[in-house]
Amino acid sequence: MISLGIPHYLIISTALLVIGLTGFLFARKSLVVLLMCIELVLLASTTNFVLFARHYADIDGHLTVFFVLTVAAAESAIGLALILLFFRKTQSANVSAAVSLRESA
Amino acid sequence: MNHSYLLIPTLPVLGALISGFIGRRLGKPVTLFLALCAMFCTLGLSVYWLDQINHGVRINQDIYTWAVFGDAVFSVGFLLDPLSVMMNMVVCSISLMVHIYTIKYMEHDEGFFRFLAYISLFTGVMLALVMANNFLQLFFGWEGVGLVSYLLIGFWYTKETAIYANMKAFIVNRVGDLGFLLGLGLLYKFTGTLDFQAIFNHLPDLVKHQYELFGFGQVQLVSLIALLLFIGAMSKSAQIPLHAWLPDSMEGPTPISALIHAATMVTAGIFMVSRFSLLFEQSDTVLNFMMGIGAITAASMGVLAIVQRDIKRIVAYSTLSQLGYMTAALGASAYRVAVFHLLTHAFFKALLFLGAGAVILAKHHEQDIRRMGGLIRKMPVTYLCMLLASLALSGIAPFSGFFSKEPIIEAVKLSSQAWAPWSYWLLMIGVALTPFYSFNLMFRVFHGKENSAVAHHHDHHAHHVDDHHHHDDVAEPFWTIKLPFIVLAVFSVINGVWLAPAMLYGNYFSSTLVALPAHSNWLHIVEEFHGVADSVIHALYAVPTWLALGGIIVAWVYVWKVPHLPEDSQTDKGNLFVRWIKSGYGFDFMYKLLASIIFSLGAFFSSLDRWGIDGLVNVMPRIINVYGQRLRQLADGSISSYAFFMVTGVVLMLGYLVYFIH
Amino acid sequence: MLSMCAFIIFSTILLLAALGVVFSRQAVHAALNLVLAFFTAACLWVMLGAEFLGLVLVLVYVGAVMVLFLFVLMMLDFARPVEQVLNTPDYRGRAAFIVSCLILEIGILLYVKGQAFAMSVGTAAISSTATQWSVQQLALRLFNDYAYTFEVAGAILLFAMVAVIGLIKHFDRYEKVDETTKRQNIADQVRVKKADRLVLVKSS
Repeated sequence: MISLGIPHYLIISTALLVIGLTGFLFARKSLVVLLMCIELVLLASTTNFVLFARHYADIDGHLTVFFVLTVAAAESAIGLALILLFFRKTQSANVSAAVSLRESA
Repeated sequence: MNHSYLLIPTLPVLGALISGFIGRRLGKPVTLFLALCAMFCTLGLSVYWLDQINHGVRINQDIYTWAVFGDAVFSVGFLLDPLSVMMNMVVCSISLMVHIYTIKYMEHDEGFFRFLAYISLFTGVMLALVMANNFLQLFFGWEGVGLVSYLLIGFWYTKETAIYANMKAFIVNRVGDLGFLLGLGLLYKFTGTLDFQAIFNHLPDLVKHQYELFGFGQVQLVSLIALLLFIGAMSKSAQIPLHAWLPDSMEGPTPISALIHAATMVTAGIFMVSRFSLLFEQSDTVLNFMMGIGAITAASMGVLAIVQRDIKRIVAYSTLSQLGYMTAALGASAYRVAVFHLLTHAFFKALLFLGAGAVILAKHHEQDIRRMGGLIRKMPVTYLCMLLASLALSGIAPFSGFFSKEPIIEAVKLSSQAWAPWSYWLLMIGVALTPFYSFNLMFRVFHGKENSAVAHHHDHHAHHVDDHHHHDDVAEPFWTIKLPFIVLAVFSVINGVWLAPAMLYGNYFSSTLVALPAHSNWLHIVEEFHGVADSVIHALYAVPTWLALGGIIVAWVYVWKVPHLPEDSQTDKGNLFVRWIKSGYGFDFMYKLLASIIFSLGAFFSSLDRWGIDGLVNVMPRIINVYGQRLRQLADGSISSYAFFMVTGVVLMLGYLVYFIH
Repeated sequence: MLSMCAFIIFSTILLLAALGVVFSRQAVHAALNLVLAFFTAACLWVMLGAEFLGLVLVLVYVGAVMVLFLFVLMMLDFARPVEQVLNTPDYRGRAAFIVSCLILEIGILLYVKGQAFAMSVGTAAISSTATQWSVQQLALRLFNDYAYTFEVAGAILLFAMVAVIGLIKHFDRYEKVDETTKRQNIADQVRVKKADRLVLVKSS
């Protein structure tokens, strides 16, 4: 049996990354889904950190994950707050509705 | 040692400031009093310093360091020696006379205070020029008098001809200034200083230098410098070909013609060359050139004076002619003679101008001599003074002009310069012409029948004193106008007798005006001088006197034969030759041609700038505009597009990494 | 062997859940799929020897952040139909291209760099003498070497909290309130004094 190694985990995290990015780029329906896809991308990167922390036997990788999680939480909170505000304004959470930055011409 | 000489230039400037800025508020009497006080004090100080100089005091003092550029130090400094105090006296006395004259002459002009300010300012600046001890200050004075001359010629600035004239004066002066500056530059480069004394000390070294003049090969440096400086003098002292501005400068009020264009500013060039006699002596070429130019000017301008109809222009061309005499004397290395002629000429020419002004005023701004006549009955004092001036101008003994003109002619005759022979003949021609046109003027204006033709008020009179009283109003002018006449007339008469022995034949100028022995043939005259009375008797059987008397007689006959000059306009009658002469030898035409070439060049470059350079400069914004429009459309406000661009950025960065690794 | 099986199971579920996030019709379904994804990811982390982090992932990320997500999803009413679908330019084609570029790049990078890891399939193994890290070791590292970063992270959370409250709270709605509705006035809350809250009662 092939022993479990770095490539396996790398493929997983790469796949996660790609799926997350695809979701990020193809978001149409809901802004919240957009944020969730961002979380997926972050998950991919943190998995990578954990993997290589294990490989290089360096605990700093875990600590990096720690901080990334913190900041990701903060960022999600603020993103959701903004979505809420946007919803209050436009009564819709559709991505296509978020076009007020467009010039009128 | 006191520094009261500092007040000499500053008092008039102070007077100018007062007149100019608060004159209106102070009122005429007060302002006039202050201005005249300033002038009197200045004159008094000049007399004091004249006395000091006569007792052997000399001052060469740097007063104030104006700027220091590395090794170069430029300062304000004063030089008082026989030459400068003499000039002081000339400037101050003539200026005082003009100030007094102005009281009445310009009283109705609404620019009265401005005028007063300008003439005081002029006096101050001219004095600064004369007492300078370094070229920077001299140049400051040079430019300053040019400026004030410009301001005064265009005094009635609403008149188009006045503006034309003052621009012409300024620009022609500028041409001379260019030469002057080039000369200064060379001097500075090779001596490292602009101080007169220092330059004189450097002269022995300078003589050895050769200078590479592009296209002309090697020239003597001293000659080049002297020539360039003389070009400056040419424009200031109105020698051919830079003389064109002086006749047109008659557009200004008559007092300034007396002050600036007869007695003081135009003499600045003569003064400068005399001051640098030591320098000019080193260059035979330039001396020769000066003599030639001076003689040509003297004769040709004399011819032009004959064909003039405007009373002021006759006197103007006369001035040009006399300046030619002075320049010729400089060329003959007879510096003191030139300077002495400067002195005598200042007095009688100023008198002539002021007298002309009185006549013009009396005839209600009529300037054409064809419309004058018989004024002797109404203005006897004026007539007498002008007669004395004309006699002096013609060089009749014992008036002052004789004592100054005769030596010039002798000096040129005796000179060892190459062009001396024909210069002498030209000067003699001038001697014949001068009395002719002077007395032509005198006879036509004062003698004969009274002319009742009133001025048709051509538009070249800017004064709008609208009392159309006619010929019965011609009267002797007010005493403030007569007083300067009398004073100047007195001096015109006695200057020669009184001053010639000391100045010309004595040692007055020995320390300052230096000539090399090779050029000093004319000193022969000095040896021959046996006193004033003797000179006068000698004159009686000298050729110039006979020529002068002959000129007067011819004038008399001419006026008798042709009592009424035809009423033609200045230039369009007569054949080509006559027209050429009447138009001042075509100099104005040539200048206009030159100017039009430069104008068209300017127009060409202007369009180049507008279409070429602006077009080029505008290409950039236009490109940015176009692409900016396109770029702007990228920011369409949709989240998906922003998301897309973000990811694209990341991908590009990764791509770079890939490339790097490979 | 066992680990391989576990790995396959967990990774499959993870990827399917991730796909579910992206392609779910309902947003709530997407959120729940994400929760599943986190759980399985946590399992994978535990397999990689990061037990504490796996726990943190579940507790913090699922327990707090995803709950937050669900709160917001519940608040928003997605049943309402979208009134106007503005025609935003369609970036999907370009997006697909970019994503494929990305896959290509990552593939190249991993392949090339992979030699350094000796990463051809099968040869690299995660050493079974796995590093056994305890919470204590983590804490020692964190509070000694990364103390400053730790404080900064805390500050970030604080700022995020303040920012969210500042954004969301209707600070201007206090005037048109009827007495029955209870609201919070944060300014008053902060200004509270002991006297407002505490009343000491003497007991006999």
